[in-house]
Formats: sequence, structure tokens, C-alpha cells
Amino acid sequence: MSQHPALLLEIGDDTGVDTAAGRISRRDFVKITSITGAGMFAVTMFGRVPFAAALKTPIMSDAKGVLLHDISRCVACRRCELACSEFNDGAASSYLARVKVGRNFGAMKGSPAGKAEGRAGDFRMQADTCKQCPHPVPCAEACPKGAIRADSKTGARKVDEKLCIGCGVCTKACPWAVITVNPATQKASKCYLCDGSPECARACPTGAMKYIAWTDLRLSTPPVQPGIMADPSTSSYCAPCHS
Amino acid sequence: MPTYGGWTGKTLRVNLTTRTSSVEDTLDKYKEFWGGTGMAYKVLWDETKHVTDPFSPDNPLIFGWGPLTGTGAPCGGRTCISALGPQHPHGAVTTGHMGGHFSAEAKYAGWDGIIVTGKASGPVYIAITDHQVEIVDCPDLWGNGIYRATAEIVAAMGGSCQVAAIGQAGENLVAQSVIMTGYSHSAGGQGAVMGSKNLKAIGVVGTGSVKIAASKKDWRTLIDNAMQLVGSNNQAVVPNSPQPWAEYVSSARWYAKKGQYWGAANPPVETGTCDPHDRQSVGYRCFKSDPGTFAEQFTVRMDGCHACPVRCHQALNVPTAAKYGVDPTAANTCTGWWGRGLMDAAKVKGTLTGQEANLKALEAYVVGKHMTDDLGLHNNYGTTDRGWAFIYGGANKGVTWIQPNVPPAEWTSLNAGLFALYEAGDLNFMKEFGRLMAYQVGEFGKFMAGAVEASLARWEVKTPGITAAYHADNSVLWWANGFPKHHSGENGGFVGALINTGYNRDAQNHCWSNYLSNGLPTSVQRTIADSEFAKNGYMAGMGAAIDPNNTVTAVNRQKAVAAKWAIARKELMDSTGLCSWMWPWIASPLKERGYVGDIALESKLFSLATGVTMNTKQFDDEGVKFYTLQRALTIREFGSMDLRHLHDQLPPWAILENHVGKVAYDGSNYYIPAADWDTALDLYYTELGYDLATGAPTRATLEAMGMKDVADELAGLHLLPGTV
Repeated sequence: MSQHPALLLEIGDDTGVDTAAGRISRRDFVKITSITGAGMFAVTMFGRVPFAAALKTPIMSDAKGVLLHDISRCVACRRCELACSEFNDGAASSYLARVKVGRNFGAMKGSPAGKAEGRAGDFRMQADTCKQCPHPVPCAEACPKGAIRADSKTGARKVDEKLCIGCGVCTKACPWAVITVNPATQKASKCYLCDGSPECARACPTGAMKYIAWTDLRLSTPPVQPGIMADPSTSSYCAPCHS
Repeated sequence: MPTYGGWTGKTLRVNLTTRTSSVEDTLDKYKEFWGGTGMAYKVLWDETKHVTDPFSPDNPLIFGWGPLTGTGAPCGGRTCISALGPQHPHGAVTTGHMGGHFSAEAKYAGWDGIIVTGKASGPVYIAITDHQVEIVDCPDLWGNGIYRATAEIVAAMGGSCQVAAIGQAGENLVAQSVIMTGYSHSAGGQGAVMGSKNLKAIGVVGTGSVKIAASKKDWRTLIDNAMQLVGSNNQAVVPNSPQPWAEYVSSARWYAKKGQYWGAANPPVETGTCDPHDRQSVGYRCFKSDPGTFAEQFTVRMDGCHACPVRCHQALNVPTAAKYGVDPTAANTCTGWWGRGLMDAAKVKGTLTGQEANLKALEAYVVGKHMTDDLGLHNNYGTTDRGWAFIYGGANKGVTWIQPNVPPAEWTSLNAGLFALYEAGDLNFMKEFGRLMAYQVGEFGKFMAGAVEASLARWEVKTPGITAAYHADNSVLWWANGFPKHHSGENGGFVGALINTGYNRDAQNHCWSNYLSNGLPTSVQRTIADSEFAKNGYMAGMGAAIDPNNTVTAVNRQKAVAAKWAIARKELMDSTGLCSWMWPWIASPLKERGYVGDIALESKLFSLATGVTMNTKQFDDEGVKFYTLQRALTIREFGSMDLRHLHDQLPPWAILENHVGKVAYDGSNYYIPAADWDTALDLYYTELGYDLATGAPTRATLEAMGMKDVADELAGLHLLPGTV
């Protein structure tokens, strides 16, 4: 049975359920809602409001740097994805990588869902990268545990793994969908600029990936998803099902 | 059981007859054979005892890669596709190789290989999303080209999906057909096997990972080391134009220079000087413009395979090509552009001159690429275009070989259609040629589509002598076993010839030819070979194995050792997932290292990725084992152990005695005296532990490699030296 620690953890505390393991089962959840005599809607509503208010994300100052990807220099080798995942996670994976290239090959050319760009399109390759967004930072705003914070050295929006519960709400909140949850660690895998020396930029064989002084790149590439969960109240509501 | 990195631990088996899939434990069943061709040979050895027909449902089609696939080991995008091969006269095991991103995605989906058996009752594709495997009916895709199949499967499975598909050629059981991924990476020879199974494609999406056994720090250090030693295409280490950092200049495939641009990038990108110490310019070194410098202005960028920093595919945008009804964007490399090779360059140019002539020649590249890659036709390293030139001829216009073999109506039709287009220099000729071949239209289409030896034999009836004429024609460059020369005697004399002869198809082996063509002076190549091989446990004086390209000198033991090493490395590349077009790196571009590379790099990568520690010699011995199993398979398929005489012989044109006036070893040719070829085989078999009389592995050799079961079976079939 899947585990849903975030919001339910708070509820569990309120109802006296032992949460020493930081987890609660679905059966327990049903039991809790029964015991309290309230429906699920009521429980979540009452549980959500104080929880979200308590974790309101502070205003973050801008990051010091950001990754800039050049669509006309990229050769689609994906060494950036490999450097990111291997040197950070000890495993090679496009899914874990905090920069995303493989999904933009655009091999749907000619199909109803075809794209103009990409390996199968006009050959121009786009890597999706973290924009280290200025306030309000969508992923940080959405995080029900307030686990995404500005790194003290680089200002990168960095996941505090001690706080992260792997709920995945941040993955939905990011308009560029560059965050994933590592299935092995159940922690969000998010670009933190490698503490100021990004491995992806170092590994790029054409200099298509550059580490530059922060500038607002949010308008330079279109979002790939709506990022609809940036509202903390929404994210708190969603966290249980997304873990 | 110990925990390994590199392998996912699972191999997928799909039975199309029963529409079922199952999971095999890679380490339990195949660990001794690693993956790729090693694993494929094991599967084929175990499962094709009574299979002789490549189109039998019982012929397993094995999509293989290895423990380095999907990792950051540079140049690791190779997929090997093995089966009993329809191009081979005996249906012996062959392997097609393709680059791209298919194998990495499959690895991320959790698979060390995919074994496809059986035959579906109707057209299907296999949809793999991680461990979810589905066999999908696709009657609407059957009859369509590779492009349409790829596009629709990706649309159904998602943007990160990688597809390996066949075109109409594979569907129609054309022996000269491919399996293709990424619109330009093709594995030759097995398309028809896939078609015989009613399997249109495999689509794969992977969200998993490949674990590295070593620490992140150690792995990063090794990757850094490899990235310092990498060269350009084919591990060229010398630029082909003077550079401020360069001591030498050569014709090697290191093209970057100041003032040279990817002209169709927006804005254009200069390739620049590419100092070998600059890691951020490695990807510019190989501006391999096959159509010539004129094409630079139409180049969007360079492209290539997963994890490879050296980009050998050229991505073009030639807007005027659209008038032929093809996409103006096209990417490929080398003989991947082969469609245009069907056309005589002078006829393409016609009365055009200057830039107009150049542009039309470039349009021919684009039209030819789309024709072959969408239909899924295989060039077989020149076999198709050289074969066309042979039967049609310049002034002959097909009278000698084609006319007697086709019905009068077809002859009339060919003259009015295909031949007329050709003579007019109309690029639509290529599309018509492809149609006839992919659909096996008429006697002409069947001849071009068929396995070379089978096609020659069929036409031999009405035109006696065609086989001998074809084999002896230097311009055809036929080698043996239905395959052309491809880095044979012209690259290393005896070494290249031994490599090319010992395999069941053109050797697909660049281990030795790359080194000879890396741009360094021969004296430097010899010095490096002396030190690098001795350092890694090989005999002293390996520099004596080196003959410059297009020359040959007398055979010696070093040449036999080099051939054995190269054939082992070829199997090792195929079984770990590395690219034989790039590896190994005997030399590097670094002057401060005396241009020395590191032939231990692959074993280091293997050791750190998997956690199975192996030195270079042990690593190479594994490659010899894989090759020896392939040899045993070939013996079983031939029904004879005498490969020395049935398999390992030079083509007539490569023998010195067939060239009046040519002098042995005078530096002007690479023809080999017949008697010296016998000496070379003796030396080579001795190094491999094979029987001198037959070229078959002995029981002692097989048992030393842990393959007693193979020795026993061969003995039972009277195919082991010493058995009668």
C-alpha cells in the first residue's frame, strides 16, 4: 500500500495515531476519518489551513547564477543529462537528470502531435533547464514542507533533503517540468547548480550549456506544463496523492 | 549474489507467436557473455541447433547492448542486432549495428537486451514502458515507411520514446534491408528478419537508471580522463588543416578550423580551432561534410549518438530538395548517404555548372537519404550501388547482364522508366530505384533486393559467368560471404585482411583501421604501439604490425596478434555497448603525452561501472571468447569445421598473383601473395588457439574458455578438430 505522509502526518498527530515512522497507511487514514466522524473533505480542509499557513515560503532573493542553454549549439549527445545524474546520483538516468534533453527529440514529426524543433524536426535541440525562478518560486511555493530554499552560497533553489517528503508536488508546479522524484531515495531531484560548478555545463562538448550570472530566462523558453500547483493551499491538498 | 552496476539484471524475451513476454535474469543466464553480441551468440548457440532458415519463426532476433550502455562512458550509443542472417549465403549469424539513443532508452527501461522469437499473426509493434510490455496490433502502420511508423509510435508513447523500426523493405523480406532508429541510424541486414516476424517496430520509454558500481568521485575521474584522450571521428588525433596548437596536419577526420561554420545554424556557429585541451569544443571537431565544403552553408549542426561527444552525423537543411517531394532536412553519415551513390555524378550535374551543379549534387544526398531510410534499404557498404553499376554499366546500359534476365516487357519498362530517369540525371531515379528494390518489383527488383550470392546464382542460369565476373571486378570490391570489403587489406595489409576475412560479414571493425588513419606519422604510430601494447601485457615490438594504408609488407607474428586483438575488441565493443567507430584509443591528441592514448580505458570503464574488476588482458580474453563462440556457431551453420578453406579465403582481386606486373611488398599496392596468406592464417590460428588445418577452435581452447559444452556438441556433430 502506498504511503502518504505529508498532510496525513499532521492529521495523524491531531488524532493520536503513532507517527513515529513518519508514515500512515491508507487503512489508518480511513480509520482516522471514521473516528473523527468527519468526511475526507472536512478533514483535509481543517488540516490544510493551519499547515499551509505555518509553512508559507519566505521571499527569496534572486539566485546568483543560472544555466543558459543554446538551442543552436546543442548536438543532442545528452552528456549533460549523464553528468548530472552520474555525478550527483551515482546512476545514469535521463529521468533523474535535472536537465532534460531526450524528451525533446521531437520524433513525432509528421504526426498529429508533431513538433517543429528537435532531432526529427528542424534539428534545433532544446534542453529544458531550471530557471532558478525569481520570487514567487513556483516549486518552492508549492512545496508543502517548505523544503525548497535558496542556497546560501549560490542562491540556487535547492531541495533540503531532510525536509523533502518526495510527494512530487514540485514536479507539477515547475512550468518546465525539470524536477523529478528519485524513486530510490524518494527525494526531489532538482537543479541546485552543483554548488556553483554545474556538472552539465562542464560536460557539454559544444559549450551549448553555460553557467551565467542570473538573468530572468522564464520567457526564453515556453513552459511545458501549466504549473498549476503553485498555490500552497492547493499543494497541501494535493501532496498526499502525489507521493 | 553480489550487487553489480552496469547491468539492470533483466533481459526481456518476447514470443510473438504466443503474444507473451517474460523476464530472464541477465546475470544468471548471460553474465559470462556480458551483453550485445556476446549474449546474442549464447542465445543463438542454445536455440538454433535445428534452425537453418533466417526467416524461420525460431530464428531469435536479439537486440543487444551492454553494461556500459546508458552510462557516461563516451561513445556508448551502439545497439547490436543479431540473428541468423539472410544476407549470408549459409544463413550464418550476422549482426547489424546502429547508433542513436535506442539502447540507452531500453536500458533506462530496465532491460539488458531484448530477445524476440516467434511470429505474430499480423503486423504488431512492441511497446515497452519500463517493465510494462505490450504487443500492439498495427495493421495501419504496415505498408508505411520507417518515418511514419516512428512518428506515430512516438506520438502514442510520448516524446522521450525511442523507436527501432523497419520500412517496406523489411516487410517485403528484402535481404538488403535495415532496422532503423532515430531516422538515420541503421542496422544492416536484419530488417527482413524483423519483417518475417510481422514485427514493425519496438518503441521504448525508460524512466529508470543505470547504477555505477564505483564511487561518484572515481567514476568522474575516469570519465574526465577519457574525455582528455578522445579525438575526433574514428579517433583521429591530428587536424586536417594547420592549427595553432597542432604539430602535424593530415587528412584525418578532424575538420574544425577558424572561419568554418555550421552555416544553417541560426545564427551560424563557427567550429573554430578546437584546442584538444578544450572540452567544450570536442563536439565541433568532426565537421564531417560528406557532400563537400559546399554543404557547410546548409548544415544546421552535427549530430550523433547517445553519450558521444564526437558528432559524425551531419544535419542538413536543403530547402530546394523539397521539390522532389522529400523533407529538406536530412541527417546521416558516410554510406548512410548512399542513395546518391547510385547516380553517376556527371549525369547529376548534366549541363549545370558552378553553384547550380553543387546544389543539385547536394539535393541528391537529401533525396537519396530519404529514399533509403524511409523504405529501410541497406547499402551493405557499397554493395547496392556498386552492384547497380556492375549490372548496368556505363556504356553497356544493362545489355550484358540485365536484359537476358528480365522479361521483354520489364526490359521495355526499365528503359522507359528507371534507365531514362538515370540517363536524364533526374533525381527521381533514386525514388524509383528504391521502389523497385523495396517491393522486389520484377527480376531487376528481386536481383537488387536479394542476398548477393543468391542473386548472382539466379542470374547465373541465363548469364553464365556473372558470378565470376562480379567477384573479379575490382570496382565492385566484393570480399567474401556476400559482403564487400570494408577496412580490409587496404587498412593494414595482413591485419586488415585477417579481420575482414574472419567475420561473417564486412567486419564492422574499426579498431585497427582507426589507428592507421588517425593522422599521426607512421613512425609515431609504431612507437606508441610498441609502448602501449607492451605496457598492457602484449608482446614487445607491436609497432611491427603496422603497415600504412594501401600498402602491405611481409607477415609477422605481431600482425597476427594485432588482428586477434582487433577482432576481440570488436566483440568487446559490441558486448559492452561502445562504438567501434571510435574505440579503442591507442593514441590521443595530446602532444605532452607523446600522443599516447590508453588501450586499458575500456576495461577501466567496464570495471568501475560493473564492479567486476578486470585488467586489459583479461578484458581482451573475454572478447576472444565471444568471437570463438561466434566461430563455433559459424562452423555449425556451415556444417563443416574447415573454415580455413570455406570461409577465410581472400577474394580473387586481393591476391597478388591475379595482378600481372604488380610486385609484392613494394609499397605500391596491398595485394597479398597467395602463399603468404597461408602463412598468415597459420600465425593467426596459432594465436587464437585454433586448429591449423581447419581454422576451427580446438577442444583445449574451448574448454580453457569455459565452453566445454560447446566442444562437446561440436564433437557430437563431428565438427571439432580431432573428431571424425
